[in-house]
Amino acid sequence: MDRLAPKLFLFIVGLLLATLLVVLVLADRASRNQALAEAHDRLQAAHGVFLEQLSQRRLAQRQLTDAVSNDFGLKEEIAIAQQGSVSLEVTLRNFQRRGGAAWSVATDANGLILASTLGSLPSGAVLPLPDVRNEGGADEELRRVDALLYQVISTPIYAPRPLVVGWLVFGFPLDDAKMANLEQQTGTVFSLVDGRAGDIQVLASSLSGDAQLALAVQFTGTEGFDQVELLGRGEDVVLARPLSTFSERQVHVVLQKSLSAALQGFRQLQLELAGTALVALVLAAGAAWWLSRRISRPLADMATLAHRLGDGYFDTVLPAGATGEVGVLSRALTVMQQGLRERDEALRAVAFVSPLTGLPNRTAFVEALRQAMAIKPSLGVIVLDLDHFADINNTLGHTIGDRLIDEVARRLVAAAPSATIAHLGGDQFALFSEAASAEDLQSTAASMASAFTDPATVEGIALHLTGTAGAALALIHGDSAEVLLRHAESAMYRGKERPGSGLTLYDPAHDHHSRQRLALMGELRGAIERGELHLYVQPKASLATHSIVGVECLVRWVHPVLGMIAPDRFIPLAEQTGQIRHLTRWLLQAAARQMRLAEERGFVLVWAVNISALDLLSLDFAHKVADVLAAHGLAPERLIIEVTESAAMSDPENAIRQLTTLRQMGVKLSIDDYGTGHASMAQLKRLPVHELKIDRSFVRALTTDTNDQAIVASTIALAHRLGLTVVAEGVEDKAAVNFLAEMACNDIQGYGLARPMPVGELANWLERSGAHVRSFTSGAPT
Amino acid sequence: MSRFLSPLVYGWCVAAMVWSTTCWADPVRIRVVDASGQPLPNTVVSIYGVARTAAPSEVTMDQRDLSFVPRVIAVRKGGSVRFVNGDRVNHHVYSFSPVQRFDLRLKRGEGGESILFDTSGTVVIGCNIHDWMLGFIRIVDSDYFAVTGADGEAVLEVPGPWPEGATVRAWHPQIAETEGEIRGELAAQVVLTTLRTLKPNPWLAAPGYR
Repeated sequence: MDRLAPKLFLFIVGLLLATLLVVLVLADRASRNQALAEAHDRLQAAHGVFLEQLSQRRLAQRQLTDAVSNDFGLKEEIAIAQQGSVSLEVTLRNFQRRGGAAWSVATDANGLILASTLGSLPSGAVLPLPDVRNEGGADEELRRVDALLYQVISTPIYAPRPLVVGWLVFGFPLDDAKMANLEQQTGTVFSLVDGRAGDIQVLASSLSGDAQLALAVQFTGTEGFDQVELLGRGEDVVLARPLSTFSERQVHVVLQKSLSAALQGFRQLQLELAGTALVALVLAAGAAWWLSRRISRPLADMATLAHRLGDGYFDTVLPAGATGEVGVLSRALTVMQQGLRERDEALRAVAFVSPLTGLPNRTAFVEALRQAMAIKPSLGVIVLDLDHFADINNTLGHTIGDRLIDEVARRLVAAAPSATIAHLGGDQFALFSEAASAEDLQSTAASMASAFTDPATVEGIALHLTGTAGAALALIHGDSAEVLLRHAESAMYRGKERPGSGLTLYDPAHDHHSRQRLALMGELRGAIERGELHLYVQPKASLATHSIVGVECLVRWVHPVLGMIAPDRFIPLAEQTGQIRHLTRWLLQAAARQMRLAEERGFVLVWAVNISALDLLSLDFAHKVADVLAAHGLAPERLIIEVTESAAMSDPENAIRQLTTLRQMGVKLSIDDYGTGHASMAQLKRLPVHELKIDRSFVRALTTDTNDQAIVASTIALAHRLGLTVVAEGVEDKAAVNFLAEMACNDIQGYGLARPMPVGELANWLERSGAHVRSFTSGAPT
Repeated sequence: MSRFLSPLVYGWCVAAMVWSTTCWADPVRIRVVDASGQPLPNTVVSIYGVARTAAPSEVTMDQRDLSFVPRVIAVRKGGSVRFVNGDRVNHHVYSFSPVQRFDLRLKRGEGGESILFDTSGTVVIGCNIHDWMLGFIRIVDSDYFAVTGADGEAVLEVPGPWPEGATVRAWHPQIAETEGEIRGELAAQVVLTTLRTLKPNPWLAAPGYR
């Protein structure tokens, strides 16, 4: 992540690190230069010591040789000596030992060697160092003899001066021992090298043999200072100075001092410097960290505030200490947070309250329920849905519907003051209260029911409202607010299927079923469009003519997954959800089309179509029926509209108005399922119907149950008295036919006559079933 | 920086000036000067080509105040030198010169010994006790010889008439032994001049010299 604090920290620390590195490098270089300079000084000084020592040695040797040269005995020996004089050689050895010389030679006045203690300078030869015989103050010279360099001191033998009778020459070696001695005194490696680069001989050195070899290989012959890596010695500072020149060869004294050793002295200083740098770095890192945090901390705080704003929290408190631009930003953010909080509260007020009733909405209810469940586990939820409210909206308009909802809300709140009541939306309400068992809920439900006792009056219209309630218990049915509410809703929908059932408690066994049905409802509209609905017909026969007089249209849903779905599984739900209107429309269209087809084939029948109470509440239902009939060129009297007893009775005034219109159009009307509702014959007589269909529940046991026989008989009689024809449903055997025929029932319908069949099979069936129909309707012997 | 001078390089140029052409005068006055005209004392002058009969004489070399007195003496070949120690200290006189080697231990005040020199040439003598002491004995094969004084002059009585071709020679320690004689024709007055630089004064160069 590209963050400010680490960048700032890294920048500061990096800068310091770079500075420290430069300082360390400079210090290292300075140390090195210092070490080099010191090494140079030391080498210069050592070279001075070397020259001084040579000079001192020369002085001492000179004194020796002067003394020796004045020895009368020696003078005499030399004056009288012949070549190879043994006694002279003995004398020489004596003096040589006394003076610490390596060798000595005595010559005559012309340089002819008289005696010698050095094998390479035999007597009889001429001394190969002619220029050492220098009478004017005979001088010491550095001369190479064999493989060594010597301080050669020569002195003339006077007898007396200025008569030179011979020469005495002493060789004092500059050998490894002398070099070692010099190193001991000066701390500098001494070497004497002869030759030029590439042809170097080390004459003497305080170095070991290997190092001497390395020196011989690497010495460039360059005078002055040089720095070389010498094998086994590390880096050395080297000073080479010419010592003497003879025989075209150049002898150098080479001084070496280990630079590594010189640098060693600075090591402690460098370590201390590095340590100081480290401490400074750590301190600076700490300071940088503190500083970067001081800058980035308020930013991070502000970022936190922004994040929390995003999450809906408006309570972040920024530290007040921030100053400067950061402080300005910090205060601006705090102000912004304040503004957002106020607006959020306003929005929240809208979001969690139903604008229609002022009650909490679904979201608020779920939240409240969740909080309550957290505190108190024994809660019960009741969902209340007003019955047929959609129809009220449709007939009376939304304004009245809205005011009705508001009225219901106020009544509910008054009826159950201890409960939390919410308006879930539309005509649905929910409440929760403390309840450990179904009995507790029942009492709550009872107090809610009291809210519906009096009719609600809106704009002079008094409406008698009913509702269906479902309930779920937290202890039994669910441990989350959402689940509990859903279960209560599920129970409510189950209650809808059984009108007047009051409070329905959630039953997990039905849950799956009801859920499936809810799903089916969602699919029903699509099913119509996709042609999953199929028209079935069940023939109806006349007991007078013993022939088929009509068919009842039935709908079947062939679901692509669930297969055949029985009408009683989806029609009640379709009624609840209002989709029944689409279903009725489809049914009317399909029936009209088949009526047309059947008539064209010569089958003149009366077709019965069932409609719902909701259809009757629709103000233009009659017009729609007329449109359909006209569209297919059908005579209205060929169509029977079947209405259930309860549908007709739910809103009798409106139902009568609609039915009257249909009757005036010429459409036949029939009361379906007569006997199951609570309609009295008195009410019935007000309905402008032509036909009464006795419910199958009375017909099924007609031959055995005398009560049923009485009811059916009286119903038929009464209906006839009112001028209605009577149809018996659910006729299954000839015994029933006999009884019905005896009672002068007009038509029969049932499995005994014919089961419902796809409409496509009707023509075929009609052509083949004449005998059966005659036989069955004639009753005849049982 | 002094070296042995090569005769080729340092040839002696001798100029003889004749003051008088008359030959009857007996005394021969010889004057020796260096290139700058300074007189050279302690020069042994000798005349060759004029003979006489005379017995070799004995010359005395004294030692006084830690010096040989005189510093330079001339002696006829076959003659002898008597060494006398007139000092209050002992001396040990020696010569390693090839012409004549000897050494004499002379106690203080001792009358000394006589040494015969029968080879011509130069004998350098020193003292083993006092290194700076230096003396020269020039042995000449001539009947007429002398040593110049502080004025660089010596007078010899040579009876005339002088034979044709008689020469005068001069030897001085600061002139090399072998080629070191300046020669000139014998005349009543002879000036011998060396045109070359002299060797350093050996007495001044000697260590311990006071």
